Amino acid sequence: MAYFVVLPELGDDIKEAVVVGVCVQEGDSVNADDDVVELVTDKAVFNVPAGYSGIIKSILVEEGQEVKIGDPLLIIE
Amino acid sequence: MTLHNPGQVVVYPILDLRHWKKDIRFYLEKLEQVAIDLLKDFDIVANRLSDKRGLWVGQKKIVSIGIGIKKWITFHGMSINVNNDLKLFSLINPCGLNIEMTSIQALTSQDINLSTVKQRIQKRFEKNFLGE
Repeated sequence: MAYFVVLPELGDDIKEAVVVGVCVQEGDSVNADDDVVELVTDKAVFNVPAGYSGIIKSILVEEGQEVKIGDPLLIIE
Repeated sequence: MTLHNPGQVVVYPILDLRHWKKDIRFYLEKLEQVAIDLLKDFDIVANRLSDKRGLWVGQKKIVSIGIGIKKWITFHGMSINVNNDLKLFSLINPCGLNIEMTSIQALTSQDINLSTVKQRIQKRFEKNFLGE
């Protein structure tokens, strides 16, 4: 079963964020609590956790990319 | 890039935002309000600017803010210029902006005691975050 990890709601009025780092590589094994992507918005840096345990199947974003709330960041299988 | 030097009060709260609201902007505005209220105690009116983070008196920056959030736990925070040497900022380009800094002492021409400022920040923090 494959799961999309998406950019979660970050609060009222925040619509997008910029990827500043991807903490994993395809093929890595992750736990649900592990941070997978680091982003910045409004001068706040924050990390998105995997949310699921499994293997990173595909990374859909890269450093410097702007992503919107709900956009997929990577796929975990 | 930023600069910390003696005479600044640096406030780095570690809070679990799940106890308040899982909202980055909510937290930033609360934090800013702590400093706005503090500066009001010194008759300084500090403002937010829509396009720049931090707090400003006119075009001069008095509070720098940069926060981090991990699993909704906050880190980093803000630094308030109290009586620090502002000349040092000319050696860097603060926050990537070509800006001028100011401080409580520069604006009030008073000798400001850092301990007093810290006590006041604590009170303002409690009021804004705990409603006390």
